[in-house]
Order: sequence, then structure tokens, then C-alpha cells
Amino acid sequence: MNRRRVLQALLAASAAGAASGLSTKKLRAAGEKTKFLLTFPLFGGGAIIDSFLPIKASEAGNADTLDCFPDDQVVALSGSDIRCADPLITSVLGFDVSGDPLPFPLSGFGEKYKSEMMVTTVTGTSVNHAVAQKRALSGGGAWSGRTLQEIVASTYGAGFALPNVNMSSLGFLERGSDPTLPAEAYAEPIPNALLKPLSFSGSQGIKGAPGKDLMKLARGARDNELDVNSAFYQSFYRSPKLDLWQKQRLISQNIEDQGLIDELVFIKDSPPQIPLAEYGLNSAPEVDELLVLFPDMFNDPLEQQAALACLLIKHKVSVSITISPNFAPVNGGPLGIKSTPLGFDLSHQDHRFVQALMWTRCLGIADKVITFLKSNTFDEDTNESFWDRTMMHFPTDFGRDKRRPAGAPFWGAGHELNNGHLTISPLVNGNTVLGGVDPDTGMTYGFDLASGEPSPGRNTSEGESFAGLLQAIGVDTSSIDLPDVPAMRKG
Amino acid sequence: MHLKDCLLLFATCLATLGSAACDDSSTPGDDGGPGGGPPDLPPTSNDAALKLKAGFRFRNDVAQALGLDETFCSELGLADCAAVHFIIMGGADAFGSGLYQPLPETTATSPLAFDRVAIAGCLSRAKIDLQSSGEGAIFVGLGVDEDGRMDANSPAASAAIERLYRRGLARNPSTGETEALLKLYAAIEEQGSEAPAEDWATLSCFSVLTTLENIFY
Repeated sequence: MNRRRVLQALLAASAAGAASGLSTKKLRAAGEKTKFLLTFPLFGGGAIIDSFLPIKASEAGNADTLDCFPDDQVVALSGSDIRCADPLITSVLGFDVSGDPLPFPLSGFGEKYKSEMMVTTVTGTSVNHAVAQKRALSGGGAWSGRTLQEIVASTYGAGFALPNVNMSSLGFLERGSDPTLPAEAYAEPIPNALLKPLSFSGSQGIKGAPGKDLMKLARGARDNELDVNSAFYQSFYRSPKLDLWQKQRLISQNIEDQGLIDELVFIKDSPPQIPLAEYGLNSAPEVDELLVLFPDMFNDPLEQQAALACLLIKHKVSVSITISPNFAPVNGGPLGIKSTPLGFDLSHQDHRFVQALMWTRCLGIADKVITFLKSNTFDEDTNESFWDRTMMHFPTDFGRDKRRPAGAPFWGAGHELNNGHLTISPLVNGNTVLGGVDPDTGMTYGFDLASGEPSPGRNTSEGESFAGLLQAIGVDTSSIDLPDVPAMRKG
Repeated sequence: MHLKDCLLLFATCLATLGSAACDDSSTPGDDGGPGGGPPDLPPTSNDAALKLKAGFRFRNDVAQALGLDETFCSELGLADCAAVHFIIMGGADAFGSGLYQPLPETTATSPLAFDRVAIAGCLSRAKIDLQSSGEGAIFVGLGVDEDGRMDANSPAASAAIERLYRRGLARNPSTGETEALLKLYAAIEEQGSEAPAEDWATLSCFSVLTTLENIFY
């Protein structure tokens, strides 16, 4: 047996296997009824009782020592069980602003999207940020450690160039722990949304680089002559890293062939700061539309992430996209600060202000993403928009302490397992609160998974919430030991 | 991978192994050791425990191989390429992304990031060498004419490839490797390149520095 010929055959077969799903130029266009998952973690611990399950002071057993709101700062949405917190902040990190209090109303957002909003209670299992974040996405390991995003990418991602992309950090960026997950469903990490499109070409944007056809000649010589005949490859051909790399070369060639670098650059040529034309780069056709929605995208990383997310969905590059703030502060906006250091976790220093600021920030961005997706058509025949096929889910690390020092205008709140989530989508049971909150303790309680009836004394587990979300987005969970949660899906 | 793809892979392997078994020039065993046939193949590594040459390390190796400063690659003139693509090039990012360890595997765009660093370096080296009138590090004495063409069969072309391999991979090229890269020149000319010699210098450099051998160790 001639080993050299065997190695050549293995290389060819491996390439054929990877290429078998890449027969069309743009991979398989998402003509099949794909769905999109936009995961928007509330990084650091966003409390549901500070947003869409707020407690009125008049309801609380002891309003002085509970995280609750004056009655006029809790708004019940018309025709809905959903409540919104409309906090009026009188103290910012200990500085008294009661003379000119700061409003952070969520009711405007609530009124706009209530028909597609689902508020669910959930109790997590860790107060460690990284661990809790990962469990929030994996349902506590309910499906062999796979994350929501990985499962959606596995289900709907065939034919997409980059099925799963993740612009978050820490535990929300961590890969799931299922070793059998197909490599195509791994998340592509995006630490810098502004510059990420540059990695969609091996040469475009490098001054003086040869054209694509010449690059292909060089890659052909490398792949088919130099690599396969090298002593290195013949020694190490069994390496799974080499096997994966060779498959990824094909995928990346396809990404390059699709010209994604020209479709996903979401900023305008702005020399000398951003000299796109000088480097042979073009802006996406939607750049003007995105600049209207995200006017501060030069300075605001979350706006950058949102802009890129919009394009990744519209150009059918990805089915699972994750965006989020992180521990880094972002300056700007009317208050001089848009994102606090530690994100939601600065609740340790000033719970009420931080929750108000960060919920407003995240939902403000979400509103703009939804606006973009609603205004772009997914299917010309059915006139469905991209939003019609999207689920936007807001997981978070955990909740916050329910108590406060008696009468304190501002206080710090630690980590608390008991909490809830917000999900917005035409695909879920909208205009719904599943579960409830005890006005004496601030603790949320669960719901009957089938009927959705509130169930005091029961907590919704991470796994149950995870199962309900997957079923709502149309993933078949019948082969996995997950509970059936019809209460969370539409119809 | 779908079942259909697995069957295709399996069938292809069977067909090729079947034909290879009839080859008269077979060598016994994996180590080409005593017992028959020339030991022309290196031993197969059973563990094949390779590591990726991550981010700055790859950039620095390219810089050293090509005799360049480490600042040779910059995205939009704003930031170092390896820094921009650090995570997909195998780096960790504790402070920015909370990634305390590198990703366990490379990603779909990892090959493109490595390509960008290599092509930037090779462009610089090719330009310097071809403009240096005989003084250069790798692509010297190619006898480029006024149309930007060179004689790929000249000793200078083979010598350039040898220098490229010695600097890049710390070894001599095989006869096959030299032939493959010389053949590349003809293909570049045929493609209609306006500066075929310079493109060849750039692209042969790129081909070698992005081989598996230079990206993994």
C-alpha cells in the first residue's frame, strides 16, 4: 500500500466531504423557512423586578426594605398583564439629583412591543458571573451542554456562511460543552464588530494585494502541491486540527467568494479616520439606513454590534447572533455615560440607577434592531419581514438582591438566583407574563409549563426556560430529555 | 456532517485504498523501515498533537522570515493585523472579551486572518527585493524585464525558492515543491498579471508561509 497515495486520497476525500454542502456560490440561500435567534444578554445581572415585573410600594409588605417602586412609577400596559418600571432616579452613585430627577421609562418600549413580549420567571443555579452566564445559555447543561445559539445554528444554519456569531464576552461567549457539536455550529467570536468584516477576506483591504483570481492560484499550489506532499503533513495528517483547518479553508474561501467583506462594512469611507476607499473597501448598501438607526456607531461598541447583527441577518450570513454590553464602560450620551463599568453588575454600588440606565440602553438598541428587521423583507412571496422570523431573547447572569436598607434612596444589590427573562418575538406567546412575583419578598415564582397558569411555590428552572425557548423557535426537542413547555410558544 | 456526506467520504476512501493496494511502488508499514522499499516517507505520528502558531507568534515568525519589522501589517493603517484578529488567530483576551483561554479550535475565518498577515508581509518583501537592484533578502537576481516578466526556469528563480524555504521553514525545498512554485509563475502570467514577477514573488512567499507546516507545530 502506497502511503503517499492514501494521504492524497484522504485529503481529497476530506475536502470533498466539507465541500458537499457548498455546491452553490452563496451556499444555500435561506429560502427554506429558517429562523433567526438574536441573543442579547444583559451582561452583569439584569433584574426582572426592575423592568417588567416591578412591585408597587402599596403592594409590598414592607416597601421601605424591598426593591419596589412608588406606585406612579409602575405602569400597567393597556390590555396586558405586563407591567413596566418607569423609574425616576433621584440619586446617581450617591450624588443627589432629586432636584432634577432622571426619568428612565420602559413603558414606551413596552407599549410598542407588548404583543410580542413574553416575560418569564426563572431561577438560576450560580451566582458566579461566568458560570451563570454559560448556564443561562445552556439551560444548565440541559442538552449535553449545548447553548441556545449552537442548537439554533445546528438546526437552521445549513447553507449559511457563518451560522453562529457571538459578539459578547466572558461566559456568554464561551462555547458549549458538547464535544459532538458539529464544527459548523461553533460560534465565530467577534470582539470588535467594526473591524470584523476585514476577516472575511484573505487579502482585500491589504494595500497592493493581488486580485482574487491570483490568490486562488497561490492557494491551489499550496493546498494541492505544497501541503499534501510535505513531510510535515505526511507525519501529522492524523491531527484533528489539520483536518478542521482544511475544512475551514474551504469555508473561508466560500466566505471570500461571496464578497461578504463588501456587504458587511457598516461604516462610510471617512478618511483619515476610516480610509475604506484607500484600502479598496466598500460600504454596505444599507450604510445610510444604519447610520440613522445607530448615529453614534463610531464611538459606541454596542451600536456597532447591533449594526453588524442587522447586516448578518439581512444578508443571510448567520442565523444565531449574540450581542451584548460587557464589563467595559462606554462614555457618551446625555448623561456622559451610556454603559456603566461592570454593565448591570454596578448594581453592587447603585442598584436602582444602574438597572434603570442599562435596561434603557439595551432596550433602546433592541428597538432599533427590531425596526431594521421589520423594514427589510425576508421573503418576497409571503411578504414576511426578517423580524417575522426572529426571536430576540434577553438572558442574564442572575437577578439582584430583593432587599434594600430601610428607606435608602440608593443602595447596592448583590447576586440573586431568583429572577426572570424577557423574550420578544412573533414566535413566542406574546403579551404574556408567565409566573409572578411575591410582593412581600420580591421573589418570582414559576408557572405551569403546559397552561402557563402562575404557580406560586414553584420555580421555573433554567432547563425548563431553555426548553421552552427552543420549542418556540421550532427546534425539535423530542429526542432529548427536555420538558414540553407549550406555555411559551405561540398558539 | 450529514449521513450522505459520511457515505461519500467512506466510499471515496474505499475506492482509493482499493486502487492503492494494487500499486507496485508500495512501501511496507508506516515507518518505511527495513523489510522492503525505500524509506522515502517520514514516520506517521500517532498522537499528531499539533499546536497552532497563534497571533503575534505567527506575525513575528513572518517578520523574522522576511526580514521585516513587526509592524509590517496594519488594518486600514489603524491597528496591527494580528491584534485585530487575535482571538481567531488563537490568542486569549482576558481583559476585553473575558476569554481567559484561547478558543479550543480555530474558527471559520481563522485561515483568512493568517492569510492577511502573510500576504502583507510577502507584499513588502517582494516589493523591497524587486526594487533593490540585486540587494534583497529572497527574490534577488530574478532578471525582471521591463514588462515585469522573469524567466522561471532560471537558476535565480530556484535559488529564490530555496532562500524562501530556508528562511520560512528552516529547511530546503523538495524538488516537487520547487517545481510547484515555478509552475505557479506560468499560471500567473496566463492569468494576465501586469507584474507577473512581483506577483509571483508575493504569491510564492504567501503559499509557503501559509502552509500547514508554518501555521502549526
